[in-house]
Amino acid sequence: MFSVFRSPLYLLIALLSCGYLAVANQRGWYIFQPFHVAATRAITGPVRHK
Amino acid sequence: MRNYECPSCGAPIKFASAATVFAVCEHCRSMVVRSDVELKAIGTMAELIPDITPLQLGTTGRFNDQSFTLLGKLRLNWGDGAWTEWYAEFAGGIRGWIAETQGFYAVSFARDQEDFPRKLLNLNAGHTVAFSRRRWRIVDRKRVVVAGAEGELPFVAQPGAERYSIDLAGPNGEFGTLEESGGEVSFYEGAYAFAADLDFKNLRPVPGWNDPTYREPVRRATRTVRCPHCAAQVEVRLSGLTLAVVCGSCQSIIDPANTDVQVIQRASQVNRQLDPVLPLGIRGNFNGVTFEIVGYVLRGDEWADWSEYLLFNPWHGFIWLVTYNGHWSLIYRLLTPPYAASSSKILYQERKYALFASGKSKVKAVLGEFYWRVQRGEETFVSDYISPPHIISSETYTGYDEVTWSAGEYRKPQEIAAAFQLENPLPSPRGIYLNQPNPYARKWPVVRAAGILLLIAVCFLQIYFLIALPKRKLLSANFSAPLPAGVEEVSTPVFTLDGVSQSVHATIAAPLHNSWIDSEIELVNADNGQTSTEQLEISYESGRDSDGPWTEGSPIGSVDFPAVSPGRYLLRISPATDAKFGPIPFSVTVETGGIFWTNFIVCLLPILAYPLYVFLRYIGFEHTRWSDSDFSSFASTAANDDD
Repeated sequence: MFSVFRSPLYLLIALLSCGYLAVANQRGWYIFQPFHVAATRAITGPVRHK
Repeated sequence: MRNYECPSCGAPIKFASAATVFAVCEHCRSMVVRSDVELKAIGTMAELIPDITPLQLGTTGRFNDQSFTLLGKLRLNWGDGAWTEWYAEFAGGIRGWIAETQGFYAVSFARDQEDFPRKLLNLNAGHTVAFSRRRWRIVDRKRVVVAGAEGELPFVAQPGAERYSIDLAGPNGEFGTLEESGGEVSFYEGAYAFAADLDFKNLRPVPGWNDPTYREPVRRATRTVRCPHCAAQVEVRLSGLTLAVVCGSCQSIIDPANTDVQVIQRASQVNRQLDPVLPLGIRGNFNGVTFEIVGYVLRGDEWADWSEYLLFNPWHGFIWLVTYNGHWSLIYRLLTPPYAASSSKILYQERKYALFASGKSKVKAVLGEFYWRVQRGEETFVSDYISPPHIISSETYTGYDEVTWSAGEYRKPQEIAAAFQLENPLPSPRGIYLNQPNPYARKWPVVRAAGILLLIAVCFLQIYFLIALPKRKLLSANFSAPLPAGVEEVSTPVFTLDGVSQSVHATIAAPLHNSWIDSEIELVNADNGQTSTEQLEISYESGRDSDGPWTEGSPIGSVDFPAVSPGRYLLRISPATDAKFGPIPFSVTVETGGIFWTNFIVCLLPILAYPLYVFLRYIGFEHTRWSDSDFSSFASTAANDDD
């Protein structure tokens, strides 16, 4: 089992994924938000300030 | 011990055992038979050919904690081979026999066995028979002839005397042999053993092998014979064991087993063109034991040719190195045949082997010397069973009633080069060999377990947040669409978000019936006026057609505003609808909390990607390996691929 530590990149990516999921759930992040915002801005223009 | 005088030459003859009646005078080679008081000469025993064996009369050893001494030597010939039976007297005067052949031993003792099944005398090798408390497999049956003897024996060993011998193997290394001579059948029972199991002492030095300062191959022959075809001198390194040696001059295969050396087969063009990658005579170290390459066979079937090197050590016997396309396997003789677990699987030492290939192979060329009468064109029916890196093969020689089993393990060319201390590297392997270890075989179970653990961890994480962060309602407001003329938008009361950033969800619900509301929803920061806009259209239609009632859309829809910073907010909504629907009341509900499932799914991808990659490489390797097999579980897939 411990030989999986010979694949540190996999473990790093897996742990980063878990970490991201924990923070994203806690802070209400949406992983595709940057693309969503970019797409929305492309359609509606920049954020309006009223 | 009783001392006598040789009736022929007067030299002293000692009978160390009370059970022996026959001896060969070591001075004049007279065969003598003793009665109670005197010795009687019955003829002269021909000189036995020199023998490389380290055993000699007087060698002691231990078997099953019983010490023994070798007192007599009986040389037996059969049609295409020969072996030596050593008469051993064990502690307490127990009579035993130690057969020495092909580098291993079989220790046996005479047993009273009246009830052996008579049919056994007529069964072929490979059949199994139950008697003497176990199931025996017939491994070999042949007619043998006494070639000569030395020392003392419990019976008269008249040269030329014939007997019929059936060798048996038990399930756990047991050895048995039935001997039929003159209508009488004797049964001997014991066990197979290697030299290390017998703890031999008082061994004789072996030419070329006992020099502790050995550095280079010592090409010392134990015997030299004259080639009957070209009259060249041919060195025999393993005299006593060698039954075929290739003349270095004319490439004829000759039989040096007897004083009357005969040509087995004339040379061929293929033989003259042989150029083995490992030369004969070099020595290599395998598992701490030095072996010398004594023979080389080019063998092939209808698809491919491969090379087999025969290696020898006087105290450890023979092993093989088999090479194909740069792949190597170290093969040794199995003394205990494996069990048949199913029609295509065998079981050996708790390891299951799958049948990979089965078919005839043919000897195409040979160099060096061999413990059987090898010939070009010799056919063998071979079945290979694999459990990489291990392999087990059964060989049935056409024309011989004998099944031999061998086992081996894959070796990298670098290991072979290191074993022989070669200066130049051996050719790199090409393709995938039948018992080549799958480089992902060890990694896959580990990565699979790690992947499953991580998957469980991520699921638990998601379940935790599902429970810990439920959606929380902030407010609800009711409006109507379309808005009165001159009013473009409506706003909800201000709501407050505390703590860290969080998602905000706005849900619009309306009693729609074949109508729609299209809304632009702005989340407005009440403090700084910054907005974030989403579009939400809800529509709901229903009706009935020939298939029955139908509905489309939903009267409820929602939009999400992720990662909204703490502060005071309101929603500004600009609803639009078709005036023909009339005023449609709708409610707006604002919630916070909850989780995005997309995050979970995206996080799963990197966790599952690597195990999936390793699995595909693992299965791809096996697919390629088994594509060369007639017994592949991938066969149907491969066939489809071919289509």
